[in-house]
Amino acid sequence: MCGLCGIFFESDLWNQSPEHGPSSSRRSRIIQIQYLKEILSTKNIKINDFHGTQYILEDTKGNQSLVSNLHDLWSTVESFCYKPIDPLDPEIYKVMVPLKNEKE
Amino acid sequence: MKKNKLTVHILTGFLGSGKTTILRDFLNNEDKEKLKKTAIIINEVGEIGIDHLILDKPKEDISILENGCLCCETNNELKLSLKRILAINGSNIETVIIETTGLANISPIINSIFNDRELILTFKMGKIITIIDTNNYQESKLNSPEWTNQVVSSDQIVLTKHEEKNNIKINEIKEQISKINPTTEISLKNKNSLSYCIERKNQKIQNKNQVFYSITKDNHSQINTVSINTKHIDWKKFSIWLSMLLYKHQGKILRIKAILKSMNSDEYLLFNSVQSAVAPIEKIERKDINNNQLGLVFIVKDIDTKKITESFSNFHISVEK
Repeated sequence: MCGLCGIFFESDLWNQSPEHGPSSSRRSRIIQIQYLKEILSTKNIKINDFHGTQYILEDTKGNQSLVSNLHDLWSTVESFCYKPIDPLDPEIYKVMVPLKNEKE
Repeated sequence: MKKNKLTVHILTGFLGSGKTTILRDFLNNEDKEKLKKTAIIINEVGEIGIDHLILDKPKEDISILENGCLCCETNNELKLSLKRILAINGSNIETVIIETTGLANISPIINSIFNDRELILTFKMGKIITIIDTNNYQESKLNSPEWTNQVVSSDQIVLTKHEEKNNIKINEIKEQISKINPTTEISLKNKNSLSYCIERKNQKIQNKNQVFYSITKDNHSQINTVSINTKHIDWKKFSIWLSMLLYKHQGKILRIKAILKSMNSDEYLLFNSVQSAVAPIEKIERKDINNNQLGLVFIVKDIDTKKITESFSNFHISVEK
């Protein structure tokens, strides 16, 4: 729980990072959310960080939802789009671009 | 001082395959000092447990979960049993062996352990050991989806009732199992089978070239295997991609095993999932693997494996360091 604002956050196996490089966990999260923005743009869904522990999702109809891990995120995206998002769909991965000689 | 995590091994196998016999041999033949550090949880479907009655180990070291299968009805009891082990014998116990029912699905068992905030801090994933009865091999393979799940989930397979089979027949069975799960290691039952499986480093993972360069195969009905070689990976993209894949295709991704290196770390990481259950990532030593080849193995059902390879490539997860 965040000691300042009292927000509970859940441990998430997907967010366990094996990295001890130069990037801070805060920076890692910003990069992760940038990737998610690219993917969710294909479904007209916006995503933003919420207190460094949760994600806030919003669709074009004004639906908003706060989620705390990637599994819940895909579940909420499914409820917004009425079907789950498929990483095997070329429409989804065409927005992903390679890193340009950039180390995090 | 930080305490080492307790290793949880899962002993599974179809009804009548010989799980309890193997467990009994283990209790009779294993080093007494090691046995003192081992706790056993036995799950039985019936209201009255039978299996534990034929084991010789003192009753207080064995937990019996009766009247329901671990993967559905007695899930909470499993958590309670593990917590009880911590409470009573926390300082001594290093290993926990869970014997499942013959019909158990492994994925919910792993999920219930590693989605619990307390248990994930204290336990780590060990081996999934599947017992296969060579007499009923064909019948189980054709008629029981539980059998296929257990084979696909396994790290080690022990063939039982093999004494009357000739070598050609045994090799045929081994070959067929390897087609369903190329990452598993197969041995014939002997009185030390369980300790052998627990202590064995997975040669198929060590000898990764053998696995990761294998060709995509179309084998056991709709079950396919695909191997992907990687360089270092962008961990953030990987977690997004894989979580999305497991969410969308839950039930179709049967098993993933991988040795990876994140682009910001020099540590080797062992990734392991059974259906939608993901075990915590384990760091492995460089000395425990034969070469520095990295990659993933997927065992899937009803998915075009080419699409997985294409998607992995187009997400640009694999990167030059």
